[in-house]
Amino acid sequence: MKNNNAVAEKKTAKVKRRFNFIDVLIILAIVLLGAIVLNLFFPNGLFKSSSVEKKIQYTVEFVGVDEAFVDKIKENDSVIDSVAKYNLGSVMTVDSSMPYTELKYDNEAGVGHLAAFEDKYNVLVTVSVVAEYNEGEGYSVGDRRIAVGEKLSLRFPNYASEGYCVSLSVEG
Amino acid sequence: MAKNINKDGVAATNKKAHFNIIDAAIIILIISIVLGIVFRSHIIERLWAESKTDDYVVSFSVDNIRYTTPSYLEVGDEVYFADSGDLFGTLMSESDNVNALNITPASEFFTDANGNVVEVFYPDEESRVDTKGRIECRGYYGEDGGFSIDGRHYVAPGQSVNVKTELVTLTIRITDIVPLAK
Repeated sequence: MKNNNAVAEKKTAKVKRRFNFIDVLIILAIVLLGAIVLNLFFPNGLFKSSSVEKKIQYTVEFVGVDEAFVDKIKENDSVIDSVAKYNLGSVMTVDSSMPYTELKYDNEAGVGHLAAFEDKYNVLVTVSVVAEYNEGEGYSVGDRRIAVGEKLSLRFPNYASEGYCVSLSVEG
Repeated sequence: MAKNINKDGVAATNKKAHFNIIDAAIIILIISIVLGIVFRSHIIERLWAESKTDDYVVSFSVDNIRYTTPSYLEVGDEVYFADSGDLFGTLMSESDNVNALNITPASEFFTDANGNVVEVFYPDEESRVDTKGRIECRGYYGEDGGFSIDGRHYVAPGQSVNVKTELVTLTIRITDIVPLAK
């Protein structure tokens, strides 16, 4: 009786499901599926090129700022992205000398001209920050891209508004 | 102690694996998923696209931008789709000169005292400007007649596209697509 059990256990232990053609087919299909999905979502490769840190200066223009607020931004103020909460640097200079203007049509003269508003200004705020530079992608702080033409929602200690980046340069 | 030992000493639980309906269902499911992705994403067309891909020139315009913006664009800059980061093409010189963009004063439309629509230009090129440029890219016309860049982005005249270079983010309006003269 004991011998029969031992033999039965041995034969049970030997019986295994063999790796067969069906398994190969399934694995190939899964690998092909994975390759297609990767190519679809990562056509430029899975890995990003390495980034380099660079100190940059960028200028944001706030258009049509009411006279009561033009002095609210000061040099050395911290600059925070209102949406992502990233620290986007510190204020270097503030230029609020340009009056806000709009194109108007003079019916009598038959010409257009830029009419200045007495109590509104275009404020240029230059900010310094250490950003990541990726070749082909440009500059960013966290997920926030810094580029001319980018709309930025910025928060300062005593002011918050949206403006467009109008200039960018690398320090040093 | 083994259970159900038969007269040959083999456990009754020993069963040889057979290809059954569950295996078939799994295989059919996987093949269906693969085919679904292939046809949904026009992969077959993309796989054959390389043989049809050629060099084209996409002309574009950008209206009413700040006068300083064009100075950040140079011939040879690589242009990418802003949303996906995929390569669109390379900025060429504008047709009449060696600069990247043709720049003219921007304009707005007003109604005069007689009710006529009048186009009024900004007084100089140091306020708002309109620009025109060209991008050299590789693409092809698909079977449906649409022009595709890299098989992933369909573009056509009249379409507004968000693009970016290393230093600039822009919305361009495509005005023409022609083969690159060789």
